[in-house]
Parts: sequence; structure tokens; C-alpha cells
Amino acid sequence: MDKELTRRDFLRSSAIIAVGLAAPPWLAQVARADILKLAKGGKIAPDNILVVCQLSGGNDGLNTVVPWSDPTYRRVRPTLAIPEDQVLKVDDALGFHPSMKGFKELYDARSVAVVHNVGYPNPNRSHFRSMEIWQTANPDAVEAYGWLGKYLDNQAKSGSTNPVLALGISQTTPVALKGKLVSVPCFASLADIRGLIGDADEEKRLRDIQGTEKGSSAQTIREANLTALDAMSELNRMLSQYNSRFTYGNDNFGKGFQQIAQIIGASPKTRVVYFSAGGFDTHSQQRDQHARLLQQFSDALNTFMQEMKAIGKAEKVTVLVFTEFGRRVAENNSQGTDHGAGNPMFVVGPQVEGGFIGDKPDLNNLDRGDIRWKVDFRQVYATVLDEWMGADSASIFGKRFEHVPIF
Amino acid sequence: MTTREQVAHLLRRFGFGASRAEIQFYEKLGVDGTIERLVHYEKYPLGFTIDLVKLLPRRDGVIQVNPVFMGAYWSARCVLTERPLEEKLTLFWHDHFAVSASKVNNPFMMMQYVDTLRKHANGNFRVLLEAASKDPAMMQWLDSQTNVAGKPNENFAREVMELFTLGIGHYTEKDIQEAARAFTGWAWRANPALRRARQDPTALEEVLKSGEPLFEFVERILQHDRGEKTVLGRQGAFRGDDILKILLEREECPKLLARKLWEWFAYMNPDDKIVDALASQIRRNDFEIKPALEWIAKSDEFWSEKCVRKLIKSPADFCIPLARQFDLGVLAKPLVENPPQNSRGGAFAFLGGVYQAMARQGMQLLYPPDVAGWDWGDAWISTSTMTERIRFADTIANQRGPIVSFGPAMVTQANVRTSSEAVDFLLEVTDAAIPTNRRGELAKTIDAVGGVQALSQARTAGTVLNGTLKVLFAAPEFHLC
Repeated sequence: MDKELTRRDFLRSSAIIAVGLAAPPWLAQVARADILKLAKGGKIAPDNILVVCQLSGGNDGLNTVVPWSDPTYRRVRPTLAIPEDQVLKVDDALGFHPSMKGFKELYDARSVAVVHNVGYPNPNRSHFRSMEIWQTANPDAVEAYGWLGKYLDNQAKSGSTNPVLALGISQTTPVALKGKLVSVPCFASLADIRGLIGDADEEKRLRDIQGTEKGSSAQTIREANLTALDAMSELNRMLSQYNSRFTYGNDNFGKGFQQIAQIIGASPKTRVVYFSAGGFDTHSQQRDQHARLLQQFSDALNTFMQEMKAIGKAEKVTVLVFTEFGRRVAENNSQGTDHGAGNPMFVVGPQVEGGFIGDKPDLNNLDRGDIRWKVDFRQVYATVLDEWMGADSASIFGKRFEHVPIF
Repeated sequence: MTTREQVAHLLRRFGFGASRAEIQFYEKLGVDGTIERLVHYEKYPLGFTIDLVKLLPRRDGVIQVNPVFMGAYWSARCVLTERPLEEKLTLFWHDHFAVSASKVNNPFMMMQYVDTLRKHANGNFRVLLEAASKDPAMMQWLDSQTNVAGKPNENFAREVMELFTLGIGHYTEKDIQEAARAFTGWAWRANPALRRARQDPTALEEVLKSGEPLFEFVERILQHDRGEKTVLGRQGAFRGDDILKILLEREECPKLLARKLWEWFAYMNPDDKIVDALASQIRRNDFEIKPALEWIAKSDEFWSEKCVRKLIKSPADFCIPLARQFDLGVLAKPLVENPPQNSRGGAFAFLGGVYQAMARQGMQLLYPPDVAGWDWGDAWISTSTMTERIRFADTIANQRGPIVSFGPAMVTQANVRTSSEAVDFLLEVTDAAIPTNRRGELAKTIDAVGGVQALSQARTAGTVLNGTLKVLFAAPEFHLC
């Protein structure tokens, strides 16, 4: 067992992670990051890639990472509790939902960090506000820019940017990707990229009609058009040269991760890919729908990691998985669950130090029926930004957050 | 502003765009006459008839239909109607009382929900709130059906406060939990004929023709929690209707409604002063919708620099006006009013083209993204949606998929002699305000993609129109209304 693991094992003891502030001075996270950088050869690779996967609607964390031996779990979820013999057990307390075999495989390969009880102060149970909080990383005020947008703004300021540095696979631009300086191209599907520009002359005509008049809403539109044209001319050629040999499901997750793989395979300049899929707002008849979604998510993620390995990119990719909130611990009368609070968060990739981080959820000490948060999601973001992307999270969040031992 | 320009502004906001035929018609009514005609639409004819039952697709004589078809049918109404505000308001309420077929997944239930919204669209918000809340699709969507005494489901109670009446921050989690108890017992049931239809498919046909509702609201008194509740500081053994009344009495309710109406019809982020003035107007008129619309249309702010041609078009504001301006309605009307026995595809392709385009641009009718409906304003614009808007040129000029081309016919008859005349013609047809210094780009495009000669011949017009419209739709100003 090397020095790194010993330190990590210590870090994992819940007392320190729990609130974060009690860490001894020698573990101050700046020092920790330094130790980590040294351990990994001095610096963070400049071509690391972050994939952010958003599960929209509020994923039921308790039926995802199942506290199978907790009697309270079975008592308050008479119809929804996963039968013990079906849980993909990890230890004597926790296991994964039975449809997450692909995910469990990654976990067993120590490529999945599960951070327990993630949330933020004064949990908001509205989808929109909570999603906005996660995307702007600001629970205290409404903000126009997102946490990745701010990261990208910093990249732009330091001059290290390009039209496809970050991409979103979505119809609309998530606020997470909105920056003051940058405009991130988002496409519902990569097929769209190839449809618009016929030849160089046509591209020029589409550019010339944009004009330059400042101000007003026209500016927003012009920016979107130019961003699209820039990304298209960059990606068009490269995408046609990349062929995937892997088969994905024909669902949102399958299609999403397949395209993420294509982008990473084709575009060496891309470092952030954002993707979201919905359907997790399971107020009623949760069982089948939730099982289906988790299966799709888990299969797609597994295939994606295989493909990354096959093209020699696995070591360069980390996937961050989040949702706007967990769900109520007790099921409702519709065989579903209402909006909750604290929830697990996943960080996936071979560079991740796999395992559970923090205390397992405590079902007997709840906040209005919901899991209490113990780790602020911004701690996870900060860890990923600083230790994976080589960014300075304090300048993005306006303050420093205690890191979580993910890498 | 000339009367013509004023009428065009009204049509862009309180209608589905200003087509040449509509401007010509409304200009004669003057500004006040136009407002009256648009807002009090129930007094005027629809201008078309579609027999939905006749139009429904069938397999081996049995109706086979999905919610997407119903959405496409609705987009056809938007294109054909001579009461454009009726559909635009119905769309507004579809966004406000958002319900998605992704969960409801029953085409007839979705259609009944749209009919409920349309029926009350310019009526009274009080009545509409109750009707929408008790609509079977809404109850299915927000789980009212399974909200029963002893085990409340909070879904509806939360959204009725957060989204339909008060807005976030004006209630507590406790208020939601208590209100959910008051709503217990609300449910819907299906017309018995629907059960019969499982054995005998003609039964469905009969009910549809009779016009009887397929689903109806019921109150299951045994499942209602009769206990005391405390909601927003009031105490009582409340039932669902009581909660709606309490919500309507809160000052936040008319404010939420005022802000939303203003942002839909005038511009985003209005001053509190405007919102408050409109809100007290709504309160004074006891939630009547028509006076609120007239107040907006007659306010100085609505005619100001800040408003005219400054609102970002929604996908509906972009696609439906173009369909109307290029006479899709004229071409589609006979096909949908009298669907030919053996080629239903033709009519459906007409309807489907606009529906699918709107969906790709981020607004799929009957499938709002979530309980809050769509995000407006800048949120309509992304690289993805702009790419799709530019590619709508392919729909108009028939380069994409199984869609019947509807643009070229009009253009070949325009008798334009030079490419700059052709540009003027296209800008007039599409009611577009492109800065003069960039119109040259459009003329250059026409020359580059085939020239004005090619535009006047049926065989080649599509290609030229396609290339030119792409550049026109790429102009940022085209997306403001």
C-alpha cells in the first residue's frame, strides 16, 4: 500500500469529511492539492476532459445507492424498497440498483467515487430553483452565469480558448455553460452540425448577414449564429473522420454518450462536454420508469468508458454526474416519491479513486423527511476544477471550498 | 408609425405574425378596431372547419393516434385560424399550466386539456385556474389521482402555488403539505364508452362524434382528508376549491399573472411599476383576461422603442407566421377540411412540417420540457435552435424530409425583375426588418444561388428560395418581433 492510499484512507474517515471545517491544518486543501500534484508527477495534464451528466427531475438516490440493510429503508418504502436479494451489494450496508450492472462493473474497477449526502444550505425543493442553484453554484442569489461558464471565461481571459473548447449536447444552452465572455455551442445532435454549411461561399454569406450593430437582443442571436458557424467549421471535417465501433442504446443516455464519445474521439481541442437527460421526477409509479432510466444511464456510461479505453482516452476523461435533489425518504401513496434534499453524487473515470466518500445516508435523522446534506456540492465542483481541470475554483465561486478526496 | 406598421405590430404580438393578407384586412379596421377584433375573437368566425374525427389516422378502419398527431393538429389550427389570438393565448396557457404528453401519453386526454385551455383562454383566470386544475390531463400529470387522505402526494399542491398562482418564495413547505391534504380526493374517471371501445372500436368513434367528454373530474369524498389544515395563515377544514380561492386572494397572484402576460405579449423584464399597474388592473376586473390584454395593447410602453420589434420570437412566432405568410393555410385548408380517402399523408405532411420544425427549435407542442413550461426570451436562442431556424428554409422550399414544399408557388408568381426587387418582395412577404446596409447580402445570395430568372420558374424556384431564405433566417433581426 503506497503513501497515497494511506492518506486517502484517513481522509475517508467520515469525521473530517462531514462538515469539512474540522480538518487539521496540515490537511488544508491547498497543501493537499500540492501533495496530490507531486504524487502525480508535479502538474495536472492540460488535456484532461470533463464530462458533466445531468439527471434532470431529481434522481431518487436511495434507490440508486440502496441502503439495503437499513430497516428504516424497508419500513418507509413498503412498495419501492429494492428487495435485498436483487441489490447489487457493495458492502454490508449499501449496494446499487439491480439495473446498474454496468455501473457496478465500473465501481468494482475502482473507477467510481460515490460522494454521499451532497446538497447545499437551505435545500430548495423546486426543480427550477434547485437546478439553477446547481448550475450557477450559487444557492444565495439568482445569477446569469454558470460555474462552467465562469471556468471558461477564465480560460478565455488567459487566452487559452477555441470554438469547441466546451460543447453541450442539448437543444437549449444550460445556464451552467453560460459565461460573460464565452458562448458555448450546443447542438441537439451532432447530425445538425453537418446540415447547415454547404460550402465555403455559403458559410461566408451566412457570416456576412450577421452585421455588427451593438446592443439589443440581436446581439444574443448573432452570437449564437457565429458560435454555431465557428464550431461547425471546426468540427465538420473531424467528425466525419471518426467512426465508433461501439453500440449504444437507442435512448437518450445511449444517444448522448455515443455523441460524447464521438466528440472526444474526433476533437482534440474539446475539454468540457455537457449533457442532460430527464425523466427522473418520479412522483408516481416509480419502479419501472426509474429502473429503465438507471439501466439506460448505467449501460451507456459503461459502453462510453469502454470506448474511451479503446481509443486510448480513458485516462483523460472524468465524468461528473449530478441531479438537482434527491427524493423524499418515505414513499408517497402513488408508489412514487416527492422532492427531497441530500443525495449521492458520482465522479467516474479511471483516474478517480473509487469508493464511497463520507457517511452513508442516515435515515433516522432527517430534515423534513429528507436526507440531510453533509457535503456541499461546490466542494465536489471545486475538487474537480482544481485537481482535474487545473483551475482555480476560488476565483470561480468567490471563496474556497474544502476538497473531497475524489482523485 | 403608420397605421399599417401599427397593425403589423399588433399582429406580431396578439396574432401569429403579419401576413400580407392580414395586414390588408386589419389596416381597414384601424388600430382600435384591430385590437377589438383580435381580443374579442369569440364574436368572429374561425374561418376554417376541421373535423378532427374525420382527420384521425386509422389502421384497418380503427383509429390509431398518438399525442404527436394531436400536436400537429393543433399547429394546423394555428396556421389556419382567422382568430389568431385564440390559439396564441391557448399556447400561453399551455406554457403556464404546462402538461406534457410524455407522462400523460393519451392523445384524447391531451386534446381535452387543450380544449379546456382554449375554452377559457380569454375568459376569466379564476374560472380557468379551476378548470385547468381539475382537468384530467393535469391531474394525471401532477398525480392528483393518487393524492389521498393519509398519504398525500405534494406534486399538484406545490406547482399550483409555485407556478400557477404565487411564484416561488411566497409559501412555505408546510403550506404545500397542508394544501396537498386539502386536494385529497380529486380524481378523474373515463367515459364508460372508452372501456367498451376495447371490445368494439366503433364505440370510440361514436363518443368522439357525440362530442361528449372522454374523461371527467370527480371528487372521491371517502379519500378526502377532512381534518383541519393551515394554509398561508388561514385555518379550516379546507377542500381543494377553498385552497384555489385562498391563492387567488393573495396579492402575488395577479402580479405573477401580470408579469407573465406582459413578458409574453410585450417585452421581457418589465419594471415593477408596469407589473403592479397591470396587476391592480387584473384585480379590479376580478381576473377577467380580455381587459388585461386591452390594457397591454393600449399602454404607451407597448408602443415604445423598448417594445416594437424587440421581443425574441418563440419557435411559434417564427414558424407559424412563415407558414401563414407563404400561404400554407390556403394550400392546406382543402386537404385538412376534406382529407382525401386514400392519401391522408398529404394533409399530415403539411401539418407535421410545422410541428416538427417547432419541436426541433425547442418548442414541441404538447411536450413542454417540464412543469414550468418553456423558458422564454434569450432562452429560445442557442446554437442548436438557431441552426434549426436557419434550416427551416429547407421546410419552406422542400429540401428536407417528407414535407410538402409551400414556398415556391408564391414566389414564381411575384413577377420580380431584379434580385433587389426579389429581396424587397421576400422582406414584404415575411414582414422582416433587415437593416438596409445588409439587404445587399441577400441580393448577392440570390445571384449566387441561381439568379432572379431561376426564381420565376417553378422548376428552379425552390433551390433559389431555399438558399436565400437560409441567409435571411441567419440575419439576427429576423428573429425579433
